[in-house]
Amino acid sequence: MTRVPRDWIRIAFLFVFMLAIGLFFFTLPLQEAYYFPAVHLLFIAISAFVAFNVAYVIKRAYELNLDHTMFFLSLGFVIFASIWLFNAFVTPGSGPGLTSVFTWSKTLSVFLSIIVMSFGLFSYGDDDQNTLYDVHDQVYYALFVVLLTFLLLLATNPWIASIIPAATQLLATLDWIAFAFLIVVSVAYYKYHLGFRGLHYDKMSSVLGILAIAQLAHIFSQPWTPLWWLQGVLQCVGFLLLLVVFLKEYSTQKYFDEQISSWSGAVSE
Amino acid sequence: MSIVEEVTSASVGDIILVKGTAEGHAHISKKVLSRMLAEKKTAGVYVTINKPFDHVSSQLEKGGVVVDKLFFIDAVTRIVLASPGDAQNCLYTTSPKHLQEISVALSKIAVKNPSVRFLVFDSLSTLLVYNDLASVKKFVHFLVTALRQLRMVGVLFALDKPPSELIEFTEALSDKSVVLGGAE
Repeated sequence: MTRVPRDWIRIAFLFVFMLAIGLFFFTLPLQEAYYFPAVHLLFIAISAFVAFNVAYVIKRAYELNLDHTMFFLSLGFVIFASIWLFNAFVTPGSGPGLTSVFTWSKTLSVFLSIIVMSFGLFSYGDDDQNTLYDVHDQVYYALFVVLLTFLLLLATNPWIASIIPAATQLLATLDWIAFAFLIVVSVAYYKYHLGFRGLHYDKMSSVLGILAIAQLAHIFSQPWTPLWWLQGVLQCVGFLLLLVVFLKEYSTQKYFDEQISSWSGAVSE
Repeated sequence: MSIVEEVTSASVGDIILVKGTAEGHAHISKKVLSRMLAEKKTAGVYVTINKPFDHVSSQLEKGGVVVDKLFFIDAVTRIVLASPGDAQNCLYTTSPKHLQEISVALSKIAVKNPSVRFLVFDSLSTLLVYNDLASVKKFVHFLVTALRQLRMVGVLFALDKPPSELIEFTEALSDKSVVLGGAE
């Protein structure tokens, strides 16, 4: 009997899981608002926590393989986690109306992070230049805390909050640009995979595809409707998958390094 | 000139394709490795796709090859054994299907150990059992380019008769090709 490749079984599971989520959301009346601010706060905060962990694991993997694209990937996730956590804290508490700060943070979280992630793809990596990206862990924590504090100060200042425009047309444009970048970055990572540059870039590419679908759900959704919630669920699933992928990447790179260092030490003695 | 001399006289960055049948292959690889390691006093990498590390290293040791300066990348053991034993000079990749793991391991070895001067790949034809031809061709192209850039001598075994499309492709990229079964 022919053995079914494990990758295909995983893809089948993922497909069924996504289909089940999609069907669940589409059985709900699509125009009806499901206004649960407490659930939103908790869910987005958890997603942000997972995203921050993804950033941290990618940073650790980057320290082992020194692929500069992973440095920007990690930085992008720190930015995402910061703005996403901020988004959780500014969940509107009264009525289904949305404050402009809340709407802006939803759009900017994806837009800014994907722009930063794409920097790595458009800059040329050079082994000699990797020291440029040699950033200590403390800098990551500092970036996270500073960005979050700045955003919270911004949001709690009534004057600043009042002058931030709703600018729905601009937000929609930024959302579409972020979607385009998600697709471009996803394709670029798949090309990296074909070029034998990394261990799990094919999976990274697939997850970015899921995040692109989530972005589409965001673009076409109205606040608090099922499609709007679907975006959050898809993003959270994507981050969990990335966490697993990069934990695997990190452990493999660590094993490779340990074996090679141990032998290199013995040979040079 | 014998096969062993042809292979061991290669210049830095040369790629030599050793093609033919499996007959005599073990004997030739022992002689080539023995000369590279002992006489030329270089360190090298042996990528094994055909046989597990334990088997290859014990066969080489029986043939008088000191394998201390040889680092093995074993892509076959973990197909049957999830957690193989720990060996200082061997790295186990998941399977021959994961070509990325072989390429990443090779890059890491070259960076961490500049004394590594040659690579033996045994064998390209077995990769076709696990991957499609297009992927293997891309991998061979990557491997040849990487070896030239790293200024390493590459000895690529391809045991297939009659010569397949992969062998013809590899031959076009190589500096020299020798046929097993000829004069030793």
